[in-house]
Amino acid sequence: MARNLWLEQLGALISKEFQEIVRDPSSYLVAGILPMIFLLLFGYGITLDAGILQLGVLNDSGGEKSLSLSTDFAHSPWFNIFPVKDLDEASLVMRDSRAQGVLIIREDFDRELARGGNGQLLLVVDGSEPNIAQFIRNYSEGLINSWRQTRLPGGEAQSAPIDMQMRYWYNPAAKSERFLVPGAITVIMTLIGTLLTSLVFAREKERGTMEALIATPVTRVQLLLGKLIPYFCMGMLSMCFCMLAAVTLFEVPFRGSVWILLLLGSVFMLSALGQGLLISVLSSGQLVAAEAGLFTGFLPALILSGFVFDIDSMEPAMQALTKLLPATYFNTSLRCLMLAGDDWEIFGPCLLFMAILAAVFLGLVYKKLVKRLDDQ
Amino acid sequence: MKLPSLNFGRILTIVRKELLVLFSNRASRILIIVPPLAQIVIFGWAATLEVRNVNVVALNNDAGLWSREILHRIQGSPTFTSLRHIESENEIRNVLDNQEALFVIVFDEQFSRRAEKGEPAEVQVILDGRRSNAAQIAVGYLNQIINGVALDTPLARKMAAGMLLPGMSLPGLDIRSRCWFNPNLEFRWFFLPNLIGMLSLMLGLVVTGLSVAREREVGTFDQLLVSPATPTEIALAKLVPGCLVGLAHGTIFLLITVFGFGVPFTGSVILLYVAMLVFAFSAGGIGLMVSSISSTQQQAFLGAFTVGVPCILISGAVTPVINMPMFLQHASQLNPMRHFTVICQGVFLKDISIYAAMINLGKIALISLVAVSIAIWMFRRRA
Repeated sequence: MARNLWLEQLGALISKEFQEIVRDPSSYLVAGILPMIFLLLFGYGITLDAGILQLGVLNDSGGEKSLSLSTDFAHSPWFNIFPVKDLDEASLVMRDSRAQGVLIIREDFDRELARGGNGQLLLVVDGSEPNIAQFIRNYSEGLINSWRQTRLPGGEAQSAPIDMQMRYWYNPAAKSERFLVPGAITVIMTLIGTLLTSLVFAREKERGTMEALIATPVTRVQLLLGKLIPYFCMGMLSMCFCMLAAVTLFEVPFRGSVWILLLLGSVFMLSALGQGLLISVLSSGQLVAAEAGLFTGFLPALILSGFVFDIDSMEPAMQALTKLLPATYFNTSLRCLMLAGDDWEIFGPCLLFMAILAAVFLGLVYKKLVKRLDDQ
Repeated sequence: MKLPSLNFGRILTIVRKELLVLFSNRASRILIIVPPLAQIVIFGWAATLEVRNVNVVALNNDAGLWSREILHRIQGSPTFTSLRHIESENEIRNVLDNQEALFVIVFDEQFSRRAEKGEPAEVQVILDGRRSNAAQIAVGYLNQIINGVALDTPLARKMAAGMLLPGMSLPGLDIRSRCWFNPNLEFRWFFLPNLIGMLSLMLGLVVTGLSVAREREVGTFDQLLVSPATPTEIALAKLVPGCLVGLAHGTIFLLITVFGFGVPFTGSVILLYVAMLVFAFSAGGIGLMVSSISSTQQQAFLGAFTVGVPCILISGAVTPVINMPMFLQHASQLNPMRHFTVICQGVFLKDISIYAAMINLGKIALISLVAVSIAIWMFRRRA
């Protein structure tokens, strides 16, 4: 009987929390609209693969060979070329970001080639966007090489002394959305787990309803579970929804097993919720809680979890910091689960660390919750 | 819209009240000052698309000189930190599955013999596609190393005059390439200036958005409305604190970026400040719009977030705009942060021309004007 009452009280708390979620339009924003925007942006919009590059061509030579070279550039799918009059204009289009690079064909280009000498080319690229600069250099060098092989005498292709053959496992076309979408799901779950829940106790405190809650006979455990369960369900639903979208819309493979996904997702969700609730019990108002959630939850998940930026390439101190984030472990294991399949040598340590973080966070929330109750 | 006459004394009084609210509470003071500063330090060090500290595993079935030479140069390169050998092909799967290495390099038994005899030798590289971006960049470095070794092979020497090697200067053509504005292609030089825009956008959105919603939630909004100030005056005054906080952070970021991280500043400081101010107003205007349609702080905060994060992502501050699909490139014209990013990159690295700066500034100003007008209209409707 006592047990039943306990469960009834918990049920009442959960249904209260669910009603708050359902009645507040902002929860739909976080659980439905934001995940969609994120997935679309990372699936279609944000890509680390290069698009069409604007390239100015300064042709001082104007002869037949130089024209055939710029025609090859014009026909390439990577470049959109436009003529540039002189060096001043070249410098201007670069400064004003109207071109990512300028190909300068020297005055004596055709003359030198006709004479059997070396034609001079200068490629100037905009280094302010380092990735693009690399792309332009590689693409133009390839293009000029193949132009040389077909249009210059004696340039027939010869096999290189050492031939490098590359194969990308798990992601054969090396598509960046396959590597970004699992990270995007991690960020979305952090949003629900940490950002949304960082507001829950702060809201009650600010509105004065915390006192009303304390006046009820519920225990700390019930209070904690009453907040945890609804958001846990919401987070897991959102994860399943995102996974479906990832697999059907973006054709990211899912090579692991579903029950491992649910296990990893649950443990990660608990640690993210623990972090959010901890922020919530520690902060006095919603503004503070929201900012703390933003700066300790969302932004690190975006930048430090290995989502976009490779963790191994960071400074050692930063690498140590990434080890404290549940998002890092979830991102690593989700990417592996989707692209490679089940691998307990990766999942095991990740699960362990996420579970430790979850236990620490939830333990601290439990401890702080009682202090706050005494304070009020 | 007919502009109502404004009383600046009243606006200033409300601004003063807003600043007091913002800075009276210790927790809100700390949160407005500390995290943005921590961000620049953390992201300055963490956010890089350069690739370093790469672990390599080699399966060398070849006993000869040439494979050893390649591995030796890999060990000597600063990009690759560790090189481990495995004995059999069965281990490759394990190594990659467990992410012990970014790639496995495989030499067959014939490698050195073929290289020695002057036949094309083949090397296989198997990469972890889960980290496809880092892998692609690492391949670039590896390519340079292998090309360097290839130059010394008998085959290359035999064909000395007419030989074509990828990435080398070609006989018949003399190609030189140069990177302007950022000669060593340091990612930090690209990213740190953009942080100024990111932070002032988020601060403008959140500080402005939440201040109105807070008054609504706590119930002090009605008190403001019955004060002598008109709704337009209240709305304008609400815009100011977010802009001030954004400008203050912009200044600190500017100093840290230039003096702490050594990023060059080639353009005009005045231009940057004018742009920051106009941009901050657009962020505040959008924040005010969001807060006009929300009734609680939670809604305002999450609304600001829903608008702010996509604005940052499609601004070119994280990945270049030209990489995006065309419809997004067009849509991003409405995003003030896109134009601000051009100006930021321009004044830091490129010494942007006044003409281009004015065009971008004009676009931001237009967006600000529209955003603030709509915000005031929505604000008055709700008031």
